[in-house]
Amino acid sequence: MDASSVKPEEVFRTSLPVGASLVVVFVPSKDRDGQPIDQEYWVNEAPPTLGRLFRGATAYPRGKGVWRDDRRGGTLLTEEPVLVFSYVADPDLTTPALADLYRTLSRMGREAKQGEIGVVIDGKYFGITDYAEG
Amino acid sequence: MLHEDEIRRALRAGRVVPLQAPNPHGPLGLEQLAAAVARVGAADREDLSIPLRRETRAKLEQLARAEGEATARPVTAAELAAAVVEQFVATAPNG
Repeated sequence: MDASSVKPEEVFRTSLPVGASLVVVFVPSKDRDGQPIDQEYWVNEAPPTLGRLFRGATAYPRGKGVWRDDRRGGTLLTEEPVLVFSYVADPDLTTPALADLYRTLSRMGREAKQGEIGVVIDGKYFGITDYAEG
Repeated sequence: MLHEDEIRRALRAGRVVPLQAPNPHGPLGLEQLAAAVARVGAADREDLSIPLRRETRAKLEQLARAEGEATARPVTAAELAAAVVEQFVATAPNG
């Protein structure tokens, strides 16, 4: 059988686009002062936004971690972020979609008092500290 | 496909850092990705302790509070001091 002739979308009878870019949003567990935030609220907020924009999202809870806040004199903060990720088809990764995602993340950054909100897209970390809109 | 700069502008990201996580898929890949992100904060800055006059410190904190009220997030005196120093050093000719 010629492998090049196999069409996975026909084998699996799918009609949705196959994701091409991996977008990962980090939902923090604490604010910049080390106080716990309502992480569950934001874990419930992020997937619908990603799902609406990119047709699907999965939340992945992790074990404990630690990070150093250089803006607070190098204070070590223990952190248990939840990763919410989505595989995004190229045509869906647009400027308006990312601007829409920004508004949710901006609100999370401001209301959850974060030093920075992190998004990873295809192996690059985008650090957001401008929470002016959202 | 959007370019990095287009993504940065759409997200209003202040910085972009390439990560060392070659295969960030599945539980182990996501753990590697999270570890790489945790290293981002610590990678590009170093602490420097400098003595300031009390009046300078007080005014710096006052300016930081004003800056925090003008923007959408709290700004500390240390952040403001770092920004001032970095901006000055960046524009100063090499000695």
